[in-house]
Amino acid sequence: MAEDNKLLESLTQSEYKYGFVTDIEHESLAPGLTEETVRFISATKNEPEWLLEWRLNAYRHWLTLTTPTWQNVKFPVINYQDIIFYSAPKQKVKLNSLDEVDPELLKTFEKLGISLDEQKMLSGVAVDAVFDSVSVATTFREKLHEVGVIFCSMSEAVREHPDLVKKYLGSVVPFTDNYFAALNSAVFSDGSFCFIPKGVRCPMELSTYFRINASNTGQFERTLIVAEDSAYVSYLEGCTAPMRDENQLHAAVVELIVLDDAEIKYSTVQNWYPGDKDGKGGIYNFVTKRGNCLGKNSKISWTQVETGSAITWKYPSVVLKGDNSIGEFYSVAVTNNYQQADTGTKMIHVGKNTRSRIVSKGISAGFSQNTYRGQVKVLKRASGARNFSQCDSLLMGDTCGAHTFPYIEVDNPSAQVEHEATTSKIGEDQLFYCNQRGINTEKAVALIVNGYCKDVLNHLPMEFAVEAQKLLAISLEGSVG
Amino acid sequence: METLIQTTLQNQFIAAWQQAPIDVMPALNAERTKGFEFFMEKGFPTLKDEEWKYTNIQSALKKNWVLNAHNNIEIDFNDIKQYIINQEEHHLLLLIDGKFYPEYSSKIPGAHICSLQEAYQVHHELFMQYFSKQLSTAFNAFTALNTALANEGLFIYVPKNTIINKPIEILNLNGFEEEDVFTHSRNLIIIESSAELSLLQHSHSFQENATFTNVVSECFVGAQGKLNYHTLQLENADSCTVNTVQIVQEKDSLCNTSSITLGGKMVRNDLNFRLVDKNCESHLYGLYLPAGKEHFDHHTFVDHASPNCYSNEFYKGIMMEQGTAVFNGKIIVREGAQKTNAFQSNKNILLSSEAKIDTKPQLEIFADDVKCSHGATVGQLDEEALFYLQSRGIGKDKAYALLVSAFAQDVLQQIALTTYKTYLENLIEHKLKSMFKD
Amino acid sequence: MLSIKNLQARVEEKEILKGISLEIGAGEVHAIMGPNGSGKSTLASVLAGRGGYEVTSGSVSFNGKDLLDFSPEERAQEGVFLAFQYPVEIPGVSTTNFMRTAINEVRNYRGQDEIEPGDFLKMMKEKMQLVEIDQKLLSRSLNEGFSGGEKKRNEIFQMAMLEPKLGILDETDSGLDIDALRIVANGVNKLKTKDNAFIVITHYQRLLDYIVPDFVHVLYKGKIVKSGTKDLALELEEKGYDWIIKEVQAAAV
Repeated sequence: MAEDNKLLESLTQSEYKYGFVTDIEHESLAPGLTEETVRFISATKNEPEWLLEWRLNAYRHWLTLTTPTWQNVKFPVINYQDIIFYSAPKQKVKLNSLDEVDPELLKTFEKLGISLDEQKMLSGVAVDAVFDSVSVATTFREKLHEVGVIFCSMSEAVREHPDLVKKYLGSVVPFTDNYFAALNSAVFSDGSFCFIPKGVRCPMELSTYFRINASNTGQFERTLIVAEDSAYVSYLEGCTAPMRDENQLHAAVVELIVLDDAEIKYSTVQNWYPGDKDGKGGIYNFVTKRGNCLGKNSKISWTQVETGSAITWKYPSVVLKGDNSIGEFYSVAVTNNYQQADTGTKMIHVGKNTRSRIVSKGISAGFSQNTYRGQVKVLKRASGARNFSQCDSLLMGDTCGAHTFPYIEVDNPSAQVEHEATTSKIGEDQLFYCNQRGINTEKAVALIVNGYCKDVLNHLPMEFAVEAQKLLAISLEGSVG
Repeated sequence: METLIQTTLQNQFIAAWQQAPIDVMPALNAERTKGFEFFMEKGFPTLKDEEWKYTNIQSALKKNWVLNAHNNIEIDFNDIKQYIINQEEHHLLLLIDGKFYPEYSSKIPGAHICSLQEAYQVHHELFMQYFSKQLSTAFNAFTALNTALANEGLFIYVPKNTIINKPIEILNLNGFEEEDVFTHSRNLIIIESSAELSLLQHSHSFQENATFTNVVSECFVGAQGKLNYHTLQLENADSCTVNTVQIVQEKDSLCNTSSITLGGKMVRNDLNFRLVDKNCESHLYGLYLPAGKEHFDHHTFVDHASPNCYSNEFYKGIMMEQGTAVFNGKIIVREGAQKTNAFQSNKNILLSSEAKIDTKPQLEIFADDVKCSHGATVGQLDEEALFYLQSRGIGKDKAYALLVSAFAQDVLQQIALTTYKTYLENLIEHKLKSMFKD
Repeated sequence: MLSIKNLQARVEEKEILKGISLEIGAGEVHAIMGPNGSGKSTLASVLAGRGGYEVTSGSVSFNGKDLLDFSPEERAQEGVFLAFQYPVEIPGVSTTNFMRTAINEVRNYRGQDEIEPGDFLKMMKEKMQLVEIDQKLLSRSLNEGFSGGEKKRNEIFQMAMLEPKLGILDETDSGLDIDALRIVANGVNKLKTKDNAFIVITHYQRLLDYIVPDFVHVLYKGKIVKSGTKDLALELEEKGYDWIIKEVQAAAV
């Protein structure tokens, strides 16, 4: 036992390799949040009056709320007057091509493994790169434009496609939804907008890469994806941040809308800076993600690999309104050291013959706490609804915790809901078996953990899956139980 | 907002508290004061309270409840006989509206049995050692009120190495008073090391009046001790019960419980286990069949505070008509409770479009070398099986009842007392018959 | 190749091996037999380095190196292979993936480059035939949901892939029907060369009809109480272990 622990300690801690800071000039607001802040952000972006009003309403609503406390995470009170709500890298007012983007910025993304140079990109993935508060570049726009797909920054969408934005913004996550959704609605600075018109299968993966660089800033981006009838898109989201001693707030909102026979596949590899091994610093990742299966036979599939952040708190959810619609949630959440995660999903069955599937794999190590919280709700008219949930926890070491809180609420007698959960550790016999085949313990742990997460990783696009596997290994190095 | 009626009930609590004859059990004053102050501060829970999210206690309180004064009641034993399951095979203890009536109860060799107040006098040291000492959770409104106001109840003490030869049948008959009474009662059950006891407690409404019973039972099972504790609730459709059972297990002890709920307007069962030393084994079985407008809520909490313990929980529910049910099962494995094995399963079937189930199985694990799992399902009777039976000439209703009984059997077969098991089977069959008759 | 001298080992406080000495040369097959609880599987575990076993005395030298000095994976990398009595399940990890990882780790230890994917596949195909194992089985999660026979064949397949110098078969025959037993035994026989050696641990003589041992040793109460040729196994089959136990007891008096 003692030896195991020693091994555990000796193996833990690999450095966070995305922890560098880009030396670039920023235009930032002074810290603090008032109505003026909201007005400033809106004015900077030349927003129409209705959007300013919407933001102000959200802000006023936010003032009436208090930070929620029901979640199974602990953090000190956040002083919103210390946070910078808008920060952007200084650059020319309007960019005509990628050549005009600050080379420092391009270098940053190169360093992160995200090439914004279309010539250099290996495969067809269009990228929207968001640096602190603003989108700095979106690739492959021409190609997407040919098929009618709109993929641009949120600011641009507000300017170029105001009707679409007005129609859908806040339709899935209204600003009254929760504390952080209200905050985001008031101060969101940028984000990605995707629109896939009727009958179009998006010819490439769309991807947004989020990077927090400036210190003391909060990042509040907003993503809106609409898939019209029979449209399909696969969307990827990645994120990193520098290593800083202070905690930084990331409070994003993601809204998905799918119409008849359409499908959105949304994949996240979340690797915000998790803090150091003593729990100092790291990102507070308080995110509201929700999709609305409005159309019949529509489908939303969330896949997430959560390895970063000091605190992760999010529940990518699906409201299954359309008959025969499908919601899926595949999640791997890893916590190590002093990380805390309270994550899961909500599947709200409204329409008939709606189906949902939840596969959640939690892995806790170090002194971390990892919670699965999920709700499956079958409303009265949701005849023939089906849900299957599998929530497994893997514990490494005896100083961490794993928690499972599923809420199952069934109001229709023809529903079938199944929930299974297990908690286990990596067996000594499994490790010995690997050792006996010549595989050392560290490699064996990575192998076993990847096997454990396979049902989720299989749902990621190929390149993301490879990256996620590496991330898992890095996040858990040495956490042998 | 509090309604006038609740305020009236609350006024009765306050009056009872102020008039409480403090010389009844003076040594409890400090604890009782804590309970009363807790209640006055917090009041009854609302739907916003996570533990009462799906059970609307406020609506159950909306009635002209009269706080039970526990007057002595004249009893004709012939009126009671029909409720007894089996007087030959079981020892019998009679409680009327929560108050113990020794004159109608068996003398049980080896066990010390008396009323709560008598226990306070006769077994004072023992009483003080255990009373309200080891509740799993901090007070809630009901345990707090009970601690403050309960003067009646049953005390059972089984000393070291004593094995009680027959199961003890505890018959709870409620509703003897003229009014609709609100009753507090409190039971204290102490099983010392290597002692063994089987309890079979069943509650019925004596008349058509409604009753609200708030009962707390504390059970302590000493090292190597064994407790079988079966409970059945079968009250009329106007009566409410909040039944809290706290079981504390010492080293190498074994505890089997079954909790069957067949009747009552609102029945809330809180069953809490604390496994405070190594190598305990606990089995929890439950079955609930709400019909009409019945609402049955089972909360269980198994607290694995020590290593090498085993717990297994299996609850099943059948919701009919407008019946609703809640299952909330929590398992905590504390830091250091290595080699814990904890399993939990909850299976439900909904038989009507107006029936409803909310189930919430929870695991909280703070030790790594454990095996834990939980599962919950909600579904229907197998249509294919139904058709199969029908194709063999069995009428649809009969087939339905047969399949539902079969669903319930998984739980019933865990009950080792055959007479009681048969008794339950008949009750369930009876309840189902009234559901599925043409 | 393998030289065991006065090996003593215990589990927790219990002495299991009470002084075992055994010399195994290249090209040899040694059978170790004995009644239940005699220490057969403990010997296999100690040689492979399983945790929980404490060697209290004696030495084990493997090709001139002190085997007991090595970690379990180093022993494997040096060429010791244990076919488990109860092969372990690893959900989500295919046998193929598992083997590729293992082979690359071993190659890495020996200073070789990682195996080319093409070569690996070719090698797999070859070895699969050896133990008549299906490709489909190899792409499923390791041992998960495998039948007893499939697990044991998978063990021999892995042995074929890793080409060990010393193969230890820990009751590989237990729970196998005669067809599976023959397949497993054939696999082992085909792997036999003049350069490698095998220790076959078994309770029954049956397996030795197929894998013919050069030497048979009887283990009883943690000691080798009798050694002989394959005829000894036949004698045991006929007379049971009692006569040896009596002999031992008589000698002790």
